[in-house]
Amino acid sequence: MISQFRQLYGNFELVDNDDFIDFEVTIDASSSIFRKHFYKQANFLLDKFQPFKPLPYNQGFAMLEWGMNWCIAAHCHQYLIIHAAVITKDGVTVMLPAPAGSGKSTLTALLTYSGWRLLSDELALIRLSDLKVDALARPINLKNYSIDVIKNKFPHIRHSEIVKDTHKGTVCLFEPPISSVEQVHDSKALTHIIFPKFNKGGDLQFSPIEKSALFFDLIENSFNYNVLGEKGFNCITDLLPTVEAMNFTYSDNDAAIAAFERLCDGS
Amino acid sequence: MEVRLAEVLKVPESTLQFGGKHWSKLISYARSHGVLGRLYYLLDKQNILDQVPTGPLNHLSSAFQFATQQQQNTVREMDEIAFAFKQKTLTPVILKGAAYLLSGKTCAQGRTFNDIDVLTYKDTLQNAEIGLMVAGWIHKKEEEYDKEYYRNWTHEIQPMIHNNRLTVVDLHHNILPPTNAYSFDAKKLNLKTMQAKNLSTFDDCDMFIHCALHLFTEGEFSKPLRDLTDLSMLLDDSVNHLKLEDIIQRAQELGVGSFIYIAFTLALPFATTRHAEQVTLKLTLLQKYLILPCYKKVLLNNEVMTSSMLHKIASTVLYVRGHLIRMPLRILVPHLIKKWLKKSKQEKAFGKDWA
Repeated sequence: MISQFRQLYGNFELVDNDDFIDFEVTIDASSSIFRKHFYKQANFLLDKFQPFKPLPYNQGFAMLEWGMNWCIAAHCHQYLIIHAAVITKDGVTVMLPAPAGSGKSTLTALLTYSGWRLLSDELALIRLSDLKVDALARPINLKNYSIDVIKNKFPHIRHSEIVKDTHKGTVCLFEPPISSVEQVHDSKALTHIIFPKFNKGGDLQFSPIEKSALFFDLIENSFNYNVLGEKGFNCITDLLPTVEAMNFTYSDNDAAIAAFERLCDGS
Repeated sequence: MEVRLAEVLKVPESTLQFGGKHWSKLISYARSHGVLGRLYYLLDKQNILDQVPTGPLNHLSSAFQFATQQQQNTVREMDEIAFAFKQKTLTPVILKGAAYLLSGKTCAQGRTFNDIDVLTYKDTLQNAEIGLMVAGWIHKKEEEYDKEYYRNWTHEIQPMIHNNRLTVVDLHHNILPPTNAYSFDAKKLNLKTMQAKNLSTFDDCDMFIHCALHLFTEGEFSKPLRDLTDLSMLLDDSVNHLKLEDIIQRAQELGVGSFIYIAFTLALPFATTRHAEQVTLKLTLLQKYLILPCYKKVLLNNEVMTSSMLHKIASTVLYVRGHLIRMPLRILVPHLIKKWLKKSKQEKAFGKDWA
């Protein structure tokens, strides 16, 4: 697991001993003698607290990613946190919210490896103070068929071991581009909110969304709206006039990439 | 510089000397004791929040935000409970965390809690239960042993969960289990009632006593420093109208004086007022040389779960003491055996789907 971690996080800055740490997390093998040798398990810990049931040992790295997402989503209420990817290029910053199965992660990976900067693939962290999005630039989590799609299209991108039989199916983590990691401290204001949907054999299409419907879509896709109360309401109210919102359906990957390029050209 | 959470709660200004790594430790200790939100409140009261670095401040304010939002929901929930009881012409007595909120106590600031604890009396228990059921609260599926255990040997019935809102009510008919040698009729406790809301709490003196009994007759501590500073903050709130001597006298009336001596010994160091008050604390030798040191080790420790041998020993002493107080050996032994057998089959709670 350590070598996978080094591979995928190798470009991140190391903190000093004196720096403030937000979360001290551990992936630990189970302590019982039985578990050390049979059906080895991995545990995720925040300090000494174990929020989840153990998982099979080979899912340890994925568990670390899921655990870190949980730490942020459950505790960081200085943000409105949306279940979404955020990418940016040439002054265009797009949030891609999506329920599971919409193809958001695949599209995010396609765009990231085609020149877009990755801020996040899972958690959009919208600062309550000024509505800018803070970046995480962590590895992209891909599932099932999309692993092969990205592997074949971008064979030079490094990734973790492919782990089968997780509760999400087959998962694999792909390396974030160096440039995305290097720019992790550069926070961006959103310009677009785009709901992607992969529709096999269908047309490529952008269609507008009613802002009032968008309000509820964002609440539905948020992790902590219920904690923020009025602050969350005001955040979304202030955000909506500043962004263009659209549905996006596509069936061809290259056409999708080109369509997003055209966004940057201002069309 | 060593970071001691207990000392920071007594003197929040000591954090002005902290560097990044000190804050990292403090935040993690405070989170485990459930006092992150309280720490935010205490720093705010000292007007030094603006001197807290952004990193730790985010954690403190997030915890305070979470607690504040939860409290809004809890206030609404208490109204629902009041309504449910009203249909049976009863008034619920709100206990513990929710009661601090209802009475505007400072210890409610930044504090979270799980379920809402409600007291009714033995003779009104059935009606109260029916009232809640009519309003949508249901019992979780009960195992026979649990049902028997709850109804015969404790002071509460099994938790009731609302079928829509998923909120939980713990309905009590006394504040101590009937098997506890110190148990007394809950009707002896004095109430303060908000007629318009159809809600009651204990009066300040009895609220403190209940809080102290709850902490010092139990054997397991999930949020030690939170529970201890609940007590010290209640003492600060009541400094102008309730003397320590009055609390002792009242506790002796109820037959639970010894627990209050222990409570005062441990909580007064955290109170910011009360220094001028003289009070004699009568402790037995066993309490002074065994029980108190064990409490200090367990309650004041930075980490709630630790692998230190001394901590494990102190925890075990208190665990055994807690059980012995709660029930005599002839009931305790078979109960512990059954409980241990059940635990090996129990599943850990799993949170939302975070992947």
